[in-house]
Amino acid sequence: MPGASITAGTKRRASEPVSQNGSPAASATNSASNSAAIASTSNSSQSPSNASGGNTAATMNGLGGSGSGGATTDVSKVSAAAVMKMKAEVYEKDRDNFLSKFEKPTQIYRYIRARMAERPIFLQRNLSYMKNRFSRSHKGREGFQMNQLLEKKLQREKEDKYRLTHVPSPRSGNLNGPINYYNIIFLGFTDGQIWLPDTKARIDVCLARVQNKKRKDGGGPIAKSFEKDVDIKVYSPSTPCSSYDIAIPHLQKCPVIAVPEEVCRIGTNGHTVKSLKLILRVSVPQAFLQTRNFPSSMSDQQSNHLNSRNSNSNNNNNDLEEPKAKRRRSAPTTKDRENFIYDGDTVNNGKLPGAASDTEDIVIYSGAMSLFENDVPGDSLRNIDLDLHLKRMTRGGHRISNQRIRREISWESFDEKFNKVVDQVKPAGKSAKLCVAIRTSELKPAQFVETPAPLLSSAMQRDDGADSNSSLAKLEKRKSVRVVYQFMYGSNPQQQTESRDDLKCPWCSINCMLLYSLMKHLKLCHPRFQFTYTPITNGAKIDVTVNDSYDGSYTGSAYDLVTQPPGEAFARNGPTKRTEVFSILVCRPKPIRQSLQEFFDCDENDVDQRRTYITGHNRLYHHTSTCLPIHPREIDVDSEGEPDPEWLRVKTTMMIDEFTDVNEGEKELMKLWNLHVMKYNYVGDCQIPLACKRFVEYHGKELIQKNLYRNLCLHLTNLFDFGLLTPHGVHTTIQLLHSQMKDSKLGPGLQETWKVAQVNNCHSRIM
Amino acid sequence: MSTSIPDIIMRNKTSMINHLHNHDDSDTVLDDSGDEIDSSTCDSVSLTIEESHSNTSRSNTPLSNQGSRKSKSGKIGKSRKKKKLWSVTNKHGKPVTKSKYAYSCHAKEDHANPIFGCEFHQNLRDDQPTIFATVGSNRVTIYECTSNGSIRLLQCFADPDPEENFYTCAWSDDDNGKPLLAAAGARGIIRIFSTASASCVKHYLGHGHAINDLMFHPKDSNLLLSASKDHSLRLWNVKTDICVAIFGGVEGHRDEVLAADIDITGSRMVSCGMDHSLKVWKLKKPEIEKAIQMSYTFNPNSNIPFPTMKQNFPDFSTRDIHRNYVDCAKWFGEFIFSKSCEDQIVCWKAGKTFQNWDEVPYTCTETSVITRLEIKDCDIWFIRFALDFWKHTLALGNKSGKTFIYDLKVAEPSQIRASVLAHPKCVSAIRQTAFSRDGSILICVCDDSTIWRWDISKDSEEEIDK
Repeated sequence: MPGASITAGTKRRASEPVSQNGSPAASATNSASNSAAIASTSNSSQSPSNASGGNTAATMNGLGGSGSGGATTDVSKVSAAAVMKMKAEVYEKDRDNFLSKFEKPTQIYRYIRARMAERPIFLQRNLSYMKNRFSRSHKGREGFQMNQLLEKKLQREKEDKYRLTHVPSPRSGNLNGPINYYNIIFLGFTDGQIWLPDTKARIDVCLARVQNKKRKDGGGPIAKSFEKDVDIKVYSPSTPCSSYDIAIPHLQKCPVIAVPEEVCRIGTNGHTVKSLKLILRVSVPQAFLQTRNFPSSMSDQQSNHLNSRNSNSNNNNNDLEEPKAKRRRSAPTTKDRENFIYDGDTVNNGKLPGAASDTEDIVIYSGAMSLFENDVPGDSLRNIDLDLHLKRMTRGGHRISNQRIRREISWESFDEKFNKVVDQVKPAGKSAKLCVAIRTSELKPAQFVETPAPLLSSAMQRDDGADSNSSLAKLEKRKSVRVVYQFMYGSNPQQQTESRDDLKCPWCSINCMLLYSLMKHLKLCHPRFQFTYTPITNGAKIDVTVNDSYDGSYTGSAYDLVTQPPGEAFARNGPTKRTEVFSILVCRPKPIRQSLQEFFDCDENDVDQRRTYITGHNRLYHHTSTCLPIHPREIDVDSEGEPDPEWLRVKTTMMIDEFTDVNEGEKELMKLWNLHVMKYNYVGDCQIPLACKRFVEYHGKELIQKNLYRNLCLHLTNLFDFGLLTPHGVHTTIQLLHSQMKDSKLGPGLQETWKVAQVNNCHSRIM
Repeated sequence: MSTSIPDIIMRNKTSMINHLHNHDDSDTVLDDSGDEIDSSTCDSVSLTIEESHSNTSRSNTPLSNQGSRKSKSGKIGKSRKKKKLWSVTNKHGKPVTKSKYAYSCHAKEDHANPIFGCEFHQNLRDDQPTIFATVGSNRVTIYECTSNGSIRLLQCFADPDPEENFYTCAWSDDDNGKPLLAAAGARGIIRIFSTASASCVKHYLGHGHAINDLMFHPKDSNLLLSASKDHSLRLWNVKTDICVAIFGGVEGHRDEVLAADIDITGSRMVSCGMDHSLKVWKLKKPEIEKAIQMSYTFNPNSNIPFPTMKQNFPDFSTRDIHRNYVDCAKWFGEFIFSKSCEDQIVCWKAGKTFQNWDEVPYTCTETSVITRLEIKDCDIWFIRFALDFWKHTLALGNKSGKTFIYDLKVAEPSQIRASVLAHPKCVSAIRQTAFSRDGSILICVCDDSTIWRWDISKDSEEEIDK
C-alpha cells in the first residue's frame, strides 16, 4: 500500500500531521517498505516536482531517499562522496528547520482541537461550505406558522398522556402534576445465550450521586444514594448470538423499581451533585445455562452487523416501530452517555465462560449510565427508553462495591463510533442487553407493571432526511478519495502524508465529507498554513507550506492577553464586553460556484481577494497616565482629557510659593489666576475679558475671603496697561466683584476694613 | 599575627583537616538532588581580612582571628576557644567580632545566569518548613531549608519567554493563608505565583520597563510595592488586581528606581535609584489611605477605570547621602540604611537626629548621618543587603563572593563591626542575601547561579539567648 504513493521522506497516516517528536520514529515499521518504495518510484516522484520546481528540488528529492545514489538523475556520478555528505548535511539541516517550522502551528491547532472537543464554541455544520454536515432536514419548518405552536404543544401533551396511562398511577398522565417517583421499568433481559425457561436474573440497581469537580483529573466523590434489587425473567433467543442483535419481546409483567423523587433531585444542595449515575448489575446463576458452546464464527457472521441489525430486529419483533424507536433513545433532555465498565470476559477463576460447569457460580453483567450531565443544573430526569448494553465482569461479588462505582473519564477518541462498532461484534455471552424504561409517576407503583408504551420521537425520521441531504457526500465518499498532503519547506517537499477514504482534517479531525469542504476548511480554519490543491487521479494532492505572512492579531480578543488568571483565552464564564471590531460577514457577493478551482495555486485569484473586511482595531489599549490596559468596557470613558492634571497644579502652587520678591497676597492671586487660566486653557488676547469675567464668577468669594480685592484691582490694571483689557472690561469685572460682595454676608464687614485701609493709605500718601 | 594568605591554606585540605572540620567543596548541581550537598561546616571566618588590611587598612574592617586560631592548632572544640577570642583586640585596639554564621551547603542552578534575588517566606510558623525563593534568568525557584543544613528544591517556574530575566521576588499570603510569591524582572510584568496550586495565578502589566524591586506591605499582605526602571513605583492591590497608586513624576525619581522599602509600621516608604537620590513617601496620608480603602471596595465591573492615585511629590528627598547609584535602602527603625555603588552603607535620617519623621517638613533638605560603613568590592550596582526581621544583623555580599555580616546590636553606632563569610568556591558577585525569620539561616545568591546557605553557629545562638 505505501508503494503506490509518491514519497520523499517518511510516510505517516493522515491523522498524524508532522510533529517534532513523532517523526524520527515514524517509520519504524514502514522503513523497509518505504525505502523500497523510493527505489522503485523515484522517477515518478520527481515528475511533479520537476514540473513545478527545478533541479534543486529533484536533487533534494533524491537525497531524501535515504541516500540511494541511483535515485538522483541530475547529479553526475562524478560527484564525490564529500559532496554527498555535504548535501546530506544540508538536507539534515533543512529537515530540522522544516520540523521546527511546522511544529508550532501544528501544536496550536491540536490544542484548539482539544479545546473544541471539550468545550465547543460553534458548530462546524452551520458553515456555508460545510452544508453536507448538516444532517437535519427543515421539512417541519416549511409549513411552519406561529399559530401552530399551541396545537403542537397540545398534541404532544396528548401523546404524553396516552403514554403515561400505561404506568399504573391514576394521575401520572399530567406532566405538570407532582412527580414523586421515578419508575425504572425493566422490560427484558438477554445475553444472547440460551437459558432454561423461567430463568430469573437478579438485577442490582444502584443509583449513585456523582459530585463533579471542575478539575479534569478524575471524578468527584461518588455516593450511593439508592440501592435495590429485582428479579427479571431472562429471554433466550432461539440460537445463541450477540445480544446486540436480539430484539427482546417485552414481558407482560415488567418488574419495576420506584426511586423516590428526592433521591434523584440534583443541584439542590449548592449544586454539588451534578450528575446521577445508574449502575446496574445483573447476575444469573450459571446452572440455568442451556447452551455452553459458542459459535466460533460469530464475529464473521456479524461483520455486516450495522446493516443487518435493523432487519434482524424487525424479523424478531412483532412491532416494527418499537425497536427502532428504542435505538434512537428518545430522550432529548438527557445526555445519556453510557459509561460502561469494561471488564474481562471470564468468570470464576479464569475458566472460560461456557466451559464452566459449576452449579453455584453466576454470570454477572454490569453497566452504568449517567443520567444527567452537569450542563443543566436543576434539570430533572424525564422519561427515557433505553437499551443498555452490559459487559460481563470477571469477578463475582454480591454487592456493588464502591470501587466499582468509579467515574470513567477518557479522552473521547474521534474514532469512537468506529470503535463502538468493533466492540459490538462480539460473541454471545460476552455482553448482555437490558431494556429499561424510565417513567415518572405520582404514586408508588406495584411490584410489576404492564409494559409501558414506547416513547415516540421525531428523531425516527432523521435517517431518511439525512439520506437525501448527504447523498452527495456519500457518493463522493464511496469513490474512496485519496488525499496526499505534501509538506513543503523552501519549495522542497519534505514529507508526504497520505490519507485514504477519509476527508477528515488532519489537524482538527473534522470530517469534512467533501473535498471542497476540506479545502475550504483548511484554508479558513488553518491560516497559519498555506494550502495548494493539485488534482491527482482519484483524489487530491495538497501542498502545505507555512504561511509566513500570517497575522494573528485579529483572532481572539486582545484583552484575553491580560485577563486574570493568565493564559485563559475566551472568557467562558458568561458574556463580557469586547472591543468593537466590525467584520462584514454577509455582503451578498455574486454567488460563486463551489469548485475546487479556487484552490489552485494562482496568486491573482479573484476569489482569494474576497478577504474579510474588518474595520476597527482589535487591539489592547493602555491608559496614557497609568499604562494600565484598558478593559473594553472602560473604553468609552476618557480617562485623561484634563489640561490641568493635579500634579501640575501642585507644582505651580509650589513654584509660586518659592518666589521671594512678591508678597503673600500677590502669591495667592497669582496661584488663583494661573490655575484658572490653566484650567480653562485661555490662549489668546481676545479671551482675556472672558477670563476675567469667569475668574470673578468662580473665585469671587474666595478673593473676598482672602482679602485679595486690591490685588485683583492691581492685576486688572496691569492687564489694562498691556492693552489686554479695555477700561470697560476693568469696570465690569470690578462691578461683578462688588455685586458678589453684596450677596455674600461677609461683604459689609470687609468693606469697612478696606475703607479703613484705604483711608490710611491716603493719609500716608498725603503725609 | 600571621599575614599569610588564608586562601591557600583553605585550599590545602590535607593541612587543614586537622584543624578544621572536613570541608568538601564539591559543586552541587541541584538536578543531582540534594544528597550531594555537603552539610559539613566550614568555618571560613575572616578570610579576607588580610586582604582588606593590605589594600585599604580601614579601621572598621573586621579583624581576623585566623592567626590566633592557627596558633592553637590541633584543638577542635571551637566554641570554647571562640569565647576566649571574644576579648582579643586587634592592632587598632578595637574588639574583634567573630562571624555568627558557618557554611552549610551550596547548590547551583543549571541556567548559568546570575541569580538576582532571594527571599525567605517570613510569615510561616515555626512548625512549617523554612521556604525561600530565588529568581534569576527566566526562573523562579522555591527551596526548602532542611534541618540537616541542606536545601531542597520544591518548585521551579520558568517563564515562557526566554528573554525574561527575573530580578526580584517577594512573599506574601493570600486570604486563605496560602503563600503567594511575586516575582518580576526585565519584562516589567509582575507575576504572582501560588505555591499551593503551583501556578502563576496573576500577572500585572503597567510598568513601562523592567522592575527592579518588589515588596509587600508589612501590615496589609495584599499590597505590593514595585520599583521600576520607568522611574516610578507602584502600589498594587493583588487581591482586587488594582493599581492603587503610582509614585513618580515631577518630583519623583529621575532615573531607574533600584530599590524600595516600607517600614515595619507601614507608614513610610523609602525609595532609591540611579539618580543618586533617596526619597521618602508617606503612606499614612489621608489620600493614600483612601485610595487603598477604595481599591478594596471598587466595583470591578464598573465602566470607569479605577482612579489610580498619582503621587508626584515625595515627602522628603535628598541627594546628599550618596554620590553614586543607590541600589539598596532599608528602614532601621527611624533610620535608613542605604547602600550605594561607592562602597558605602550609610545610616541616616532626615532632619535633625532626634526629629520625628512626621515633624520633618516637606521643604527640609537637612539630613543627619548616623554612621558610615565602608565596604569593599561593591562598586557594581544591584548588590543588596538584608536585615534580619529583628534588625539585629545586616548581611551584604560583594563582587568577589564575600559576605559581610554586621552586628547592629551595639550600644554605639560607631561600634558596628563586620565579620566576613567566605568560601573558596564562592568567588562571583553575591547579588542578594536573605535571612530566615529567626535569623538562623542566611542565604546568598551569586552571579554564577550558585546559592549559598550559612547557618548560625551554635555558640552564637547561645549568645543571642543571653
